[in-house]
Amino acid sequence: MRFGLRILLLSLLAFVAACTKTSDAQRASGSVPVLLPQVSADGVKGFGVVVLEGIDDLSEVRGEHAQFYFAPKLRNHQLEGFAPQAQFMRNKDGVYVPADETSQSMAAVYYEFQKLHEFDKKVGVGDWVSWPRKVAISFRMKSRFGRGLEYNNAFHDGESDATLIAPYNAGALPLALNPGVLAHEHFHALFNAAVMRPLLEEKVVVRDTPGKMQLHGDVLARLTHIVGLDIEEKSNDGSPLVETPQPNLIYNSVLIRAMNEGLADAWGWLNTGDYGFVGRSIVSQKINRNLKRGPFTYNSMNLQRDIFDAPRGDFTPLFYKYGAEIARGVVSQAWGKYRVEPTTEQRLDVARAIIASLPRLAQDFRNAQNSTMEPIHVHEIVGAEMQKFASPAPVAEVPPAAPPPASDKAEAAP
Amino acid sequence: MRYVLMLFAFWGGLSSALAQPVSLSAEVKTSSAEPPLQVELYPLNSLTVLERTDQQELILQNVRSLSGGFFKGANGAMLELANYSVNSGSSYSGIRYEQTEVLGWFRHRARMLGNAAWVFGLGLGGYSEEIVSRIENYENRDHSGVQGLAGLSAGVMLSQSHVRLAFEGRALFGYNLDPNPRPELVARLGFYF
Repeated sequence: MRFGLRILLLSLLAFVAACTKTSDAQRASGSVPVLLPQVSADGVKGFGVVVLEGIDDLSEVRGEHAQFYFAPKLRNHQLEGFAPQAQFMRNKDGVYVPADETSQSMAAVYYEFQKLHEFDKKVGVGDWVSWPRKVAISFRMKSRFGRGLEYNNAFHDGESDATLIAPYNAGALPLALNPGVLAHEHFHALFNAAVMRPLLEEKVVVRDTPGKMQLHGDVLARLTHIVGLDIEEKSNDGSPLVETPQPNLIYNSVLIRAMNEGLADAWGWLNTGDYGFVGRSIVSQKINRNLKRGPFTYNSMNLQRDIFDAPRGDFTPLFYKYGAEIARGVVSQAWGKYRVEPTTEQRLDVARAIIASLPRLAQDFRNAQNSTMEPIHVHEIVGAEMQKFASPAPVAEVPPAAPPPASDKAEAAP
Repeated sequence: MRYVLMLFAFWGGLSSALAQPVSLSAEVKTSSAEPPLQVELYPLNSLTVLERTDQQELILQNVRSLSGGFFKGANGAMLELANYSVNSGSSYSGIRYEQTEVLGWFRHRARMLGNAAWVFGLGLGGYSEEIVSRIENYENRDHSGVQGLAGLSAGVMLSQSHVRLAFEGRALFGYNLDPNPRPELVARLGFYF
């Protein structure tokens, strides 16, 4: 009997010792040192210790700057899902080392949003979006190419105001470890707050271009070709199926998305100094999305023609094609202003100029419902805002790597 | 410190328990004589543990394990060594997690039927972790300190002609384990003499 009691006592002791304490990661809060890959403008630089600030619970990497959902569903404009359990090992120096890829991704994304929050505050938009940012990792969505799931992509969902990161299997730098990609997605949140959301509410633009619409006039005839509408299609009582949209609705909706993508690419560069951040993760986009190339000249006619030619009314490639040119235009403007590669501080000024230009951009879209806005108009607005910042002291020469300014020549071959 | 105290308590309890005359074992025929020392060795255990994966799923994972110990009458002690590793990520960027465990088990057996016996265990020990992080051509290797583990087990043991087969279900407790407690199944095939 005494023996049995002794066994029971020892068992209870062991149980209490092992169970009553929370894990190291659960207890880690506030400023937490974590080992992460170091990715700079020149690429990967090995590993280093960073400090995650404002952590509430490291086992979920939840805190002041970000909170995570694992493979959540989007329902009623909200993310629905559970917080992933991150695994960390505390090494002998007290540094937390991620024990698997998901945990590393969560810590890296948190760290980038921490830096983006700081950048936002410096630019003056620290309160434009809500914090902590909602981030979905391993987000499952249907591929836009048809069957299967979307891989190797990241999105900002305007309705839930969340960053969605799809699984990555492209064999290069994972999107979650790519600071430029995260800055790009974060810009969409800012653009959404200042431009997209108000214009969508006012029906100046549409988010999903288009389903069945009743269009009219010359634009109707041309857009009918694009989206495969039946011009004659009417409801049973003969009235239009939906409210007649403005003639330029589709054009403006495509253009504003291209501007959104372009300025987001520029935001990625402004945050990181990396001209080729997209290509680090999506190797197929290494050239198409590199911002160090000179921008092509394009105008509304180019965009209209591309809209007409878009197969099955899928305009998504146009957002990125024109977006990349818009981003290169902004980079070119920055180089033109500073005449050398812009420093971190100067890039901050360019970011301020972009932010300052957004209200006017939104207003110009409102005014362009019955006219055609030139894609390059964004550069006029951003350029005007950039002129408000102090010009640098003259420098002796322009480095050869400087991207050429936008020219008036016809579209060049890539 | 807590674990050091527990270890002392454990060995104190174990030595006291071993000092008591016990006649429950199927192999101990007489209670008056000192029970013989019986050494056992399990070179190849099949240990299956429940672990959380990178994709947040709880899966059964096979673990390399070997163990050896002794029985003196109904009570015994065993030392167990286990090691496993998990890889996540890609060839470009990945993480290899490795855990090595050492557990000392106090075991008690009780007659069941014929050559079969119930076996119950209380384990104490520790584990250490190693993480190798890779990205591009860079690699970083990190170790944890030793962390405490405790375990409870129950199972069945069959002994015949110096060959012993045992099946045990058990739970390991450690505050950094996920899940905690961690359920495990172990099948042992070994020898005793």
